[in-house]
Amino acid sequence: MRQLDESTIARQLQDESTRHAVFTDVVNAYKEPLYWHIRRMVTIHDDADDILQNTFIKAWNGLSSFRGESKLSTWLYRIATNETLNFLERQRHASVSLDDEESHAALTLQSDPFFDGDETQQQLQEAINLLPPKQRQVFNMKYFEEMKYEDMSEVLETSVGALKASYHHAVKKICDFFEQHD
Amino acid sequence: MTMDEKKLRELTGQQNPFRVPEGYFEDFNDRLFARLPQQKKAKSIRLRPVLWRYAAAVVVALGLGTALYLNQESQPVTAYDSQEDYYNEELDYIMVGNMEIAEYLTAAE
Repeated sequence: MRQLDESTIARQLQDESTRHAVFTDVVNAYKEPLYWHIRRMVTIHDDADDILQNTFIKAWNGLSSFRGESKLSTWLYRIATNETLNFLERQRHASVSLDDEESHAALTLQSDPFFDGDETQQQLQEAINLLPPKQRQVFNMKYFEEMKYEDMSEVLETSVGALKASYHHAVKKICDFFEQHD
Repeated sequence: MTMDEKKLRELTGQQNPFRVPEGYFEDFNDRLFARLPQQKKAKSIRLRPVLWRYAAAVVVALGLGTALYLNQESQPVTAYDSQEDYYNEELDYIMVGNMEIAEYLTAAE
């Protein structure tokens, strides 16, 4: 796989003669990290697959708007994050009441053939699923993806201070969840 | 005892509990690119050689006709006895001063 050159990629994506080849390289470079970025939010593989495809389709359709002012990764993660949060919002309006949310999250994971974590990992995911979507996103990006706050700030368009506060609050909630279910 | 992030990591481990179907990432590109809008090549219009000759003839005819029409329109409405009379009138307009214009306008009110 060719290395992506951030300094020239915007121009190459604008150029019709190089666009397809470079976009293929972009997909190859980002499909796995973006998939896990999405999957940890929505947990179900089929949903993550749909959102990942939509992310790249939106990126393809929006190539004319990518001028290289932000990093390619920032731009892609921003699209993926927005697609994910929009999906969760639609799902929230369509599904169970808040009272049933904890048991629904547990049942979903138990019956998921593509989740094979042990009981502790299942509890962790249940706790994460109970966080509000944006706080969940912050937690995942810091805890699992180990993203720097400065990079998260560009993707989520939120101040570093607010992100730090959100993350520490999320960690506290998850720890409280474990203590309650001990 | 209050848990913190470090203890949380020790408790839950670092292993990823999520799995993907076999071959998922290998097959992803084919499925994605099948959904991307295909860029259509612009069709180049080819005329048969005889049609090119007709087209050229029409262009020449239009060009001649336009030139004749414009030549007629460029004739001045005012007929001058000589070129000198035409220049004299132009110079009169150029040399009219602001005071004369003001007087003319105020006299007209």
